[in-house]
Amino acid sequence: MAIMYALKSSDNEIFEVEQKVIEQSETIKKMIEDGAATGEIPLQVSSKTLAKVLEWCKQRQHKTVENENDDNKGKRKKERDEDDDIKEWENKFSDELKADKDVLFDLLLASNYLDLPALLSFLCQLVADMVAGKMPEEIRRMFNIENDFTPEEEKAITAEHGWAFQP
Amino acid sequence: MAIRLWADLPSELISLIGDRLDIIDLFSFRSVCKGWNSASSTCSAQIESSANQTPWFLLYGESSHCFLVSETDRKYKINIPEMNGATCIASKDGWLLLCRERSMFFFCPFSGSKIDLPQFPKSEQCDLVAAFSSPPTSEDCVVSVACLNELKFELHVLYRGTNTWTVHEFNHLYLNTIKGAGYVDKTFHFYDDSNKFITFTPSLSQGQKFRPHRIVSASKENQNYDILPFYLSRNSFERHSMNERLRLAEDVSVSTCGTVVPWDHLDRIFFNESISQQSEGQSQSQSQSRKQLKGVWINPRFYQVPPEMSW
Repeated sequence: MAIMYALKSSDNEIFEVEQKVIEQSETIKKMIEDGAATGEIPLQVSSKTLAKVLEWCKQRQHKTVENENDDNKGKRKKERDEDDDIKEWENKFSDELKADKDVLFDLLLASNYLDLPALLSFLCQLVADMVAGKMPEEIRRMFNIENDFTPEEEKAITAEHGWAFQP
Repeated sequence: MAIRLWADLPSELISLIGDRLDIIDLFSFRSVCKGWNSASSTCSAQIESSANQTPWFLLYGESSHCFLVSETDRKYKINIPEMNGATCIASKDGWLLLCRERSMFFFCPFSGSKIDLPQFPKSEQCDLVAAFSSPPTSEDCVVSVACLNELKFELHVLYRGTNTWTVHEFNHLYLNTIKGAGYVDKTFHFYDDSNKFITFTPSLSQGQKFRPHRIVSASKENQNYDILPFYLSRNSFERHSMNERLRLAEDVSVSTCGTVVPWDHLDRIFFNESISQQSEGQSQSQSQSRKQLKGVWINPRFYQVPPEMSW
């Protein structure tokens, strides 16, 4: 019988989660170890974001459990298939986040706050991939960022990096 | 409020994202807004996948106008006043060791960061080949500059934080022109253009610091050998078709400074080269009127150092 924990989002929604799933979060793991996690665990994360976090954690958990149960026979092929499955799942997960950058932003903060290194690294790589090959103006448009450099600063930046943006 | 969202991303997350960008994307990233610019100032474009990556090539030697070719053959014109009149004698991890008359300095062309070294003791014309143990910002950086006379191998050594070059000499009698240098296991290696090299281990006591070596091919009869701690690339210029990629005119010759690149388990030394496209039968006067350019292989890295930082 798996040990379950109740996580409470910042907008008071309760999520029942298996201990193994949620212990991927170093922050929550520490709360449990410290005995601070009796009853509901309150988190500074919205229900929408927390649902996404748990979606990620369950997928990761699934993967680890399956690997543990594997014997060596036929492992190669199975691993290959699994890698394909994970890739496919990750691509879908990425596409959803690319389409909704508010969720991506909240998820970045949440993965940092909950100390989920694998998710944090995945998301940073996702943003890096989104930025790659783009000009500064395109990046600003993509993330709705204002150019807040003063004309002098802008000039200094152009002097420093401008050569890289030659047509 | 919403419009500030991404600009206000915590700086540690901004720098985690910046760490995953190559140098050109990093420059775009740094140009987006103030927050992203300052948070990414420690990002160096040293991405994990950078092993086995062909370095970039920087062509210089005519005023401060330089020409940069990326490993994927993107080309950039870049104005670098520090390269004007200077000669590069070592290149590693994105840092160049430049020499202009008797002044010597470390320089990162991608950030403009410069670290001056104490005046170099030798002024007479001598082909210098150098290596440094670690980036010039690290506390234990050691610089070794080699100069080969007819009889002596002269090595000028400088430790981080010190003001004096110490000179060490070795009566070699057998080395040819030094063409490549590297540092591994606390030891400097200087390779000549045949199959010989000399090592210098600063930490050993006087008299043991220098060791001459010969490169032999492995064979059954000859089992008493060490394995070279580097891959050696002697003709990178040709191998990477730099002549065509730089579209050099026929009357141009280029002397290149090599570099050291992470390659599988061993580092790979790109040798210094002298390239001229002189066709046979060309007269002496013609060859003297050739245009002399310089080039250096460089790993594209972005290092900022505080302006008050000194050697």
